[in-house]
Amino acid sequence: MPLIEVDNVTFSYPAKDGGVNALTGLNLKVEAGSFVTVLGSNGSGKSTLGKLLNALLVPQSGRVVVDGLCSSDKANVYEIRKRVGIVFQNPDNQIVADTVEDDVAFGPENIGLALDQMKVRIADSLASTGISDLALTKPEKLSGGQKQRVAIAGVMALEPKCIVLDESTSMLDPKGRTEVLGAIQKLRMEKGIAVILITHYMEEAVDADYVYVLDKGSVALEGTPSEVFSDADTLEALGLELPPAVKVWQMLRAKGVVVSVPVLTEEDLVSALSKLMRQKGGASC
Amino acid sequence: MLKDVTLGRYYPIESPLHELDPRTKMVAILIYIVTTFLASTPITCALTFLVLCLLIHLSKVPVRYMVKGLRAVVIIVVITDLINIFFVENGLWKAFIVTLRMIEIVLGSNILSLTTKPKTMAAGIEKGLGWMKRLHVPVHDFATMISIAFRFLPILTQEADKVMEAQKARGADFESGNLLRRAKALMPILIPLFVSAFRRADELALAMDSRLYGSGEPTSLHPLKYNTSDGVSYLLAFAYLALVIVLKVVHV
Ligand SMILES: Nc1ncnc2c1ncn2[C@@H]1O[C@H](COP(=O)(O)OP(=O)(O)OP(=O)(O)O)[C@@H](O)[C@H]1O
Ligand SMILES: [Mg+2]
Repeated sequence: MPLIEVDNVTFSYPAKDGGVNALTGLNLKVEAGSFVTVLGSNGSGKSTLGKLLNALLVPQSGRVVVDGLCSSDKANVYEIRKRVGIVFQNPDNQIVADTVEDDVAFGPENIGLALDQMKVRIADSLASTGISDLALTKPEKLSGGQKQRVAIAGVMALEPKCIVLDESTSMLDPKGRTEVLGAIQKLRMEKGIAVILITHYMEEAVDADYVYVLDKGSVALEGTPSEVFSDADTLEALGLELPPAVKVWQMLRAKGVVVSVPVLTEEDLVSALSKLMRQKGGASC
Repeated sequence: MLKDVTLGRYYPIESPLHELDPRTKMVAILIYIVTTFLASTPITCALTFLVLCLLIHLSKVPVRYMVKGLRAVVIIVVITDLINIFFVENGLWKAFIVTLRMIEIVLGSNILSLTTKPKTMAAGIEKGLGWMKRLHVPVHDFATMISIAFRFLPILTQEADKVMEAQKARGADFESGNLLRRAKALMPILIPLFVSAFRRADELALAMDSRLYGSGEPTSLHPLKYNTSDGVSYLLAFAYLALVIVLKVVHV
């Protein structure tokens, strides 16, 4: 059984807020410990999906099942939130307390954890996100990347099975972005936590186990990164731009240059091209 | 330009007053404020002033920093003083008492906020009013509200400054004209500020919900507990209150 199952979900916001159908007939699965990327242009329903996954929103029809718990049952809401944590876009608007340590403690305090357990969890989460030395720092003294790692540590302190990042790197500079993505991958490797990365940067999808592309509230395209990237026309029609390396590879293919392995990253491209040159070079001599 | 808002905030040093439990400090300061209202003779006024000096000394906060907090009340004090002096019988003495009382109240409450972290203060209020939970008063929510207000004060101040600069760059003028004109000029600042504050509040609420806010009986990373020094402080505070009452009763 997958960790998360989204089954034919429809969701619309109340009529007074515009009443659009944010999601229609959405299906999606996330296996325990896997890395799933959700792509889509503005307004395609990505954030709505993120909020459905930890029961901040409940679908009007269809089901969201997390670890066997259906979010439509009110009694499951808190249990689901313990299992799926979410990190939002704006680093300033999710830090509650006036020191890093106190902020990470917020979740454990809310579930009424005993003091000694709480201290262990705080130390663990700070260490696993690499910010132990910032424990007593005030939020206003942190860089954007550090703030987002604090937010991740705050989620980790609840020991979730899955963490959702809703465009959590989009307000950061390149350094901050690498910092945060690195921390997330480390958590996945070391703690076996499933990661759902919501983004509109296609580059961030290349390492994923599985990719979903949303459009107008339903899945327009899905598969492994190489499967999804090979459908350039659909992606373009959805307003998404391929990573540069993939673009070059596809232009080469269109020109009749045969590169066997699928190319996703710049390293792939370099190694594929140098292999090609060696073959060509061998033939001409 | 709005930096002054941050005055009266926590002053991070170590002192006997910093170490006291927030509940002790709140009760003691409350008692102190009551005594400033009781004091009306030269001796009792001298006593309250002496106690204020003692508290300031114990707090180890530089006097210069401490008295900055008085700037906010200068105008009020001056106006009431003038009214007292010119229109009231025995006005000079009354003006003196009012001025002293004002200074003592402001500095007294400043001592509390300078020696107590907002979070600790909120925890103190929460614990001190814990009995009200049984009456279904959401004490924990109020305490959370207070600490969040303190957390976002600098962010919103900064934002207000930014919006102001942006409007100035477009030719807005906040410094000239009468009061009404100036108040009107503030509208283009307040509206964007409110919109952004509400958006922040919305997102923050989601982040808090997702971290299980309100899911059960919360615990605290910094549980409050009384030490001997708290007991001594309570004793001294009540003894001082009794002394002032006695002096008042015997008209000294
Ligand atoms: N709180 C809300 N009230 C009313 N409508 C909303 C609300 N939030 C989102 N919507 C609408 O729901 C649809 C999906 O929005 P959603 O935020 O899920 O998209 P998104 O893919 O996250 O977009 P973005 O890339 O801009 O973050 C949009 O049409 C949006 O206008
Ligand atoms: Mg979004």
